[in-house]
Amino acid sequence: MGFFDALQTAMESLARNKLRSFLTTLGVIIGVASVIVMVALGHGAEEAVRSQFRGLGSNELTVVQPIRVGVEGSVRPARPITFEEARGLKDLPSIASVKVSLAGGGKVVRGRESLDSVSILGVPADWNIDQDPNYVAVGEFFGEYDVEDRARVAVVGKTVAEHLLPGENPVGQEIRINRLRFLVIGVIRELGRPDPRVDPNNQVLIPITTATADLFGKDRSVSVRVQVRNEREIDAVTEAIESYFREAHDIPPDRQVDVEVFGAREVTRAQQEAAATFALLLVGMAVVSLIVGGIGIMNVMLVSVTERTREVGVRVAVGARQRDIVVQFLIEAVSLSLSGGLLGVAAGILSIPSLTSYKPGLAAVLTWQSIPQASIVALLVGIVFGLYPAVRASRLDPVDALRYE
Amino acid sequence: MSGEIVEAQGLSKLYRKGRLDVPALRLATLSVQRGEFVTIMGPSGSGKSTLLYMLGCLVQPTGGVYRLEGRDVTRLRGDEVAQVRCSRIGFVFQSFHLLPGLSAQRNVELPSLYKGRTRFERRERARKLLERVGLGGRLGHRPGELSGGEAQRVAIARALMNDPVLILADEPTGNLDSVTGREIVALLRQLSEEERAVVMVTHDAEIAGHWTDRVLHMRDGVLMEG
Repeated sequence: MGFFDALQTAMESLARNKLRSFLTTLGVIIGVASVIVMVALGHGAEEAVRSQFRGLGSNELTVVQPIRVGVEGSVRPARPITFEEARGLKDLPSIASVKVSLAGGGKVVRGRESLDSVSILGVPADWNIDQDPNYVAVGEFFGEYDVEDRARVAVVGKTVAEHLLPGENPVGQEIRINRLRFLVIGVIRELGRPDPRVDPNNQVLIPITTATADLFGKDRSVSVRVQVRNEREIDAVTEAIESYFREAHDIPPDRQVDVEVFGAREVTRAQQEAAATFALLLVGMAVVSLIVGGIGIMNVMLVSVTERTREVGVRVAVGARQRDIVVQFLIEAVSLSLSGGLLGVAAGILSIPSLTSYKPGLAAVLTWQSIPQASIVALLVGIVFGLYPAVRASRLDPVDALRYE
Repeated sequence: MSGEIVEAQGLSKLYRKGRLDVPALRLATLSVQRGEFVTIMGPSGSGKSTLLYMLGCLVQPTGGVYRLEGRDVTRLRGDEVAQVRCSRIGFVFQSFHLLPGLSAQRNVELPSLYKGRTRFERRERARKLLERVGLGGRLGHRPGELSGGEAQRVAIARALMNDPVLILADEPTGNLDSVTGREIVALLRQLSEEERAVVMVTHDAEIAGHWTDRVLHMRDGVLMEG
């Protein structure tokens, strides 16, 4: 039987049981959709981590709060690193400067216009100290008093200004960040784009105290970047920072301190480890969900073969070869899994925006490779789980099959 | 053209039932000529269906030799047997065995799907065959929308699709009333007169005696002439 005739036969048979066909593919749809979402979230998280550590120099250290997994497997966050604690690091010896910030994402609204995933950066007043004098193009940067007062003021990037406040002086206008009102006091000059995927102008700077208290919650650690005077002092400073936090967080000497100090070396290694762990997790999830989906397909195909025993008998009697019967049922199984795969990709892509808007700060980066990958995997699932029912159909005794009631 | 279509010698079939070998057919020998219409009669379980399906290459004999048009088809491999069934043999069944989801025309086309003709050729031939069996106006009807006699005509048209030399009919009138049954047998009679052989299993002695050239009897797996 020609391929198109076999395809037509398969489609007609699936169309006769629309609900059943759909429910069967649902397993694959859900499996593929969740893998697509997880891959996108994984890429998003990786991207976020990378941008956090981007440009970490050889004489720089960063302090992060590790996520501890407790004995029962529960995730127990350590005590967060506060802005005040981070600022206190300046007084340690051998430290040239400390840069503190708190990054997140948010929706920025003005009137009826809105921008969805804007990078919101909480920073202290001295943030632009090492930038060029024209860093703020219009208006001014916020001062020490704004940080003290947790003022609702914002300095916006070029992209935000052009989108939400076109053709007017942005300074003195009001915007809403995640539903909170902010007064725009300045606009940053247009910044270059070293990475075409990231727009550095799509950001809003606000006082770091406001970000902690009002926007992102007090339980989030600020990110700290420490510049060491001399590269040779890296190890000594690492130890000094650890004991500083041991004291600040009241950690007894017999327990591990609840912060981690990273240099450029450690960051690269930790990133690779995290990526490998995540990839493994992802593969595991994909395998489990596709096996579940595949078993569903196999089950329905076995039912279908039983229901159509007489049809198989008739087809063999009029001249079908075993191969023709195998191909016919295999095409049906593959059609189920492949359409499940494609619908799953669509469902995954469509559900990403609602996920990221539900939890701001969650980043998702979709890669186009996911689509052919998901399709090929779905195809294989159909072949693997469709083969047994198809072969079983082809081995039916034709005379028994013709007499089957 | 004349000559033997079916030439069978000493065909036997043993079925294993548990630890026993049960003979369904013992040393059946028969020959059917081109243009002949032969009936096999016998009580249920006498082995007549086994013989018929053996002649249709759906059952492999455990002994004996079967020649179809002079070619030994007793021990052909799977694909070769399928090839023989596809192009040399046409089946007609008691309960029609049409595929319920397909129109009459698509049902008739079915055997040609396995012979590789173009879609257009298939359609044309199926249409002509349905016209020939008097169902030119029923091309798009599903089997559920046809009467028993009409369904059996569709089945006969299907059996003719690949122009076989041997038509095997397994109680084709069993599910029909006597008038319709006679029409179907008359149609089969016509087919046998077109350079084909027709072998039919039936319970109806009147049909067998009145319409067919020769009647064979079977009892307990043994085939008897006359």
